[in-house]
Amino acid sequence: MDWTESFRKAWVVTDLTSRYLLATRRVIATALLAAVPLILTLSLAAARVAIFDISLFQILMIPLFLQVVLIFVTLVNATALIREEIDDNTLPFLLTRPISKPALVTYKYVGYLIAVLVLLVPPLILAYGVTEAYRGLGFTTDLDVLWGFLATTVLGSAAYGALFLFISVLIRRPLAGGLLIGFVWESVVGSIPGDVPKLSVIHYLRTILSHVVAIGPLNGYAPDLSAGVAAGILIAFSIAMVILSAFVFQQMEFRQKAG
Amino acid sequence: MNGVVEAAGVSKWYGEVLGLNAFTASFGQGITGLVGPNGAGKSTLFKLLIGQLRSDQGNITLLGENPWNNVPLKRRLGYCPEQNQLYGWLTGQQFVEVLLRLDGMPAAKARVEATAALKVVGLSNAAHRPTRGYSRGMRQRAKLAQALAHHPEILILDEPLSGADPAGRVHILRTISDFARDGGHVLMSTHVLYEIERITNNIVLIHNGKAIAAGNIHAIRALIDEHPHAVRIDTAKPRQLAQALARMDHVVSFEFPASDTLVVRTRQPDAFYRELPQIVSDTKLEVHGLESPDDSLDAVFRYLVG
Amino acid sequence: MSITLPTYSRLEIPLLGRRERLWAIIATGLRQGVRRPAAIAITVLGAAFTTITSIILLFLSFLLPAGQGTGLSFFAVPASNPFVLFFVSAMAAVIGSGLIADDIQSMAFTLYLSRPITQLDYLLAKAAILAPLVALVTILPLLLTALVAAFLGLLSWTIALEAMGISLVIGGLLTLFYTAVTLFLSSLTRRKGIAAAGVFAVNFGLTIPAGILAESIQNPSILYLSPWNDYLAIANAAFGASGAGIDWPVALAILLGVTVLAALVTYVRMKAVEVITG
Repeated sequence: MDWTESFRKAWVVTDLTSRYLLATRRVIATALLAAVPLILTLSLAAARVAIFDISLFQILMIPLFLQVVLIFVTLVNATALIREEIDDNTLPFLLTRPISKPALVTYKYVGYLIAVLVLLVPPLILAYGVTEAYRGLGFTTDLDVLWGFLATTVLGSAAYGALFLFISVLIRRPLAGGLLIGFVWESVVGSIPGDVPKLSVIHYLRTILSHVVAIGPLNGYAPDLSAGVAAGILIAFSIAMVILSAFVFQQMEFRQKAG
Repeated sequence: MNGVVEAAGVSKWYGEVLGLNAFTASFGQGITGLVGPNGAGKSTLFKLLIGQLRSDQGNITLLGENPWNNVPLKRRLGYCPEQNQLYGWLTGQQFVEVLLRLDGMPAAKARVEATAALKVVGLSNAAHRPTRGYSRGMRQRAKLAQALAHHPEILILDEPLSGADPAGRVHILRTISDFARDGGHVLMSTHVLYEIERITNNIVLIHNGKAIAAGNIHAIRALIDEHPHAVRIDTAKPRQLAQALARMDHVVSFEFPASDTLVVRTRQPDAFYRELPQIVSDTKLEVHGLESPDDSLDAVFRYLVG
Repeated sequence: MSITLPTYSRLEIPLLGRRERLWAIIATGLRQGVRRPAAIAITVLGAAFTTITSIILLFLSFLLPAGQGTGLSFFAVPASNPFVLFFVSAMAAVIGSGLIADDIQSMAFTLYLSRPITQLDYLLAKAAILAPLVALVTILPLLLTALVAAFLGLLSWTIALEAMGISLVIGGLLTLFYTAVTLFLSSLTRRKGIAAAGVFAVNFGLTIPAGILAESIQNPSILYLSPWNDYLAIANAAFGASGAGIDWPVALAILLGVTVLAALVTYVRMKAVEVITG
């Protein structure tokens, strides 16, 4: 196996994908939504809200960032990787290159991860910075909160992205399925008793936050699961979904719509 | 069987619709035209050849190999799809370069080859414009450039002249001819016979998913000529004209569908057209109209499919 | 021999009226949108679920101690049914998101504009496709609840009729808001999936943090940011109930303002759209 050539191809597909997700008009919507935490914290600071502190930051970011922004940005970008290429009739250009379908899926997923983290991480760090600056505190005062949210952003992007990627190779209209899972199931599952919440990504993201953040609204959530195990589950889930996506994509036939 | 493309009993279903129906053909070296009406199965065959579809029955090989999930084979083929969509946010240069780099070419070499390919297809002036602003003809050329740029062994071109202006058509056909002259194989689909006649004599006729004729274009024309060819003549005195035309050995029958119309069936239409003016002149009979409803690809198919 | 060219006259077909042209667009859109299993499912489920839950709430209200929740103010409860928010979002996403986006993607928009159809006609027709379907969730449950209550003698006909009238108005306002916003989002992109995701993001992205923030910082004016809370304030005021936390005139101004703004911006965008072919 020529590793140089494989890396070259990986780079090309990754670069093409991340450029598509970041440099075309679609980025206006995703960047705007990704910036909501920053806009919110700036608004609270500008309005000189007395109780605006790291606690309020967490109270807001858990439902807003993890359950709306993260899901929307990952959904819109992950479902574009394969399904939009099929809908746009540009997939034949890639399929007639000497690159295997599983490799194509994997490299596109890496490109997606890069793009999504570029969208989500800077506004989150800046929002945290605004919060600390507003209280006159140093950037490193509540680093556990920042690490907690960064970890959940990275792992959530990986897990949701892999899941939505799998849905997009499986069904023709992945956004509908993704919306149901992302905005309905992930919101409702926490209220279901028993072990059902373990069938959601948000459960593990909350678990990580509850352990990483010293004092926060999620303290005591899922005490039987450590942050490391939760992270491991999310990573394993992401890898499994990408492998499944690659397998399904390998077997897929492409009829192409009329131009 | 050692043709560039070998298909034996290939069938492909789209649900209940049969895209290819026990298609059997062998495509030789050089340029081969795949000719058939819309919906005949041309694109289905091409998608099987590039590994985008898998046959439900039969065997199909390209350059001696099964195309399905065959990564090394992709190096040897260049494909120009029928659809006009490109990566709109990339310039023409970037578009060809990216695909070349996916062929395994280093960046510097890909840049040089992309520039050369775009020059060959006549897109140098527009190479640095985003492809979303390209006209249909320019998109066609960009597609051809990415198919040619990595110097494949075989070009598979799905309706390459569709949407091209007359000058563009000439340019594209010349590019294809040059490629074949340099030793490449070309498989090109079209539903217009005269387009393919300009660059090759080898055609395969496809209809309803079946190969109904294959070989030299003149041989297929001769096939047509063996079937009586209908000629409709508008004249005030059809029976008198028929009497005069009856002396031609190759005339098979006469019909009088209207009081001023004569339909002649002849086995040798070329000879008929050559002799008709003299006969009309000798008999001083007036001819108001002359039409051959059989001189079309549809007529060929009707004859061949019965 | 002289040659004479044939003469012919063009058959002038009388142009149908504007109403017929609008109806053609509506009929096409309905045929296209509502025939899909997902659209049928979400419409039927939405109408059924919201109606059934509203009627259940009606019966539950009679378990309350006497004197509570059986007057006009009771209807503020079914009007605040959170399933309405969910199903309206779902219908906007499934049916409404593609109304304009699909036409831009498929270039059908060019075909429409090549006919004697103005952009205003086009938008009105699209709104006329979506609005009745949304009304099945925003208006119908309230109307049926009032009817059921009146028929079962749980409420007087006077109160029931008054409730139905108010339901038409406030439900109509919510319908118009979601129709305008959905069409606006649909006009922004040629991929309806992104418009659909946008509907959910706007809805839940505004409602959830507004609620949390208002409670956390004890400043209810944050609730004005959420269209759902604006609607609740108006509904509570209309039915004579209390507890919205924000002033209904301001909420009404915001909802109406956003509706008109969304409609205007969509119209201006449609006027400016150049559909590039080739």
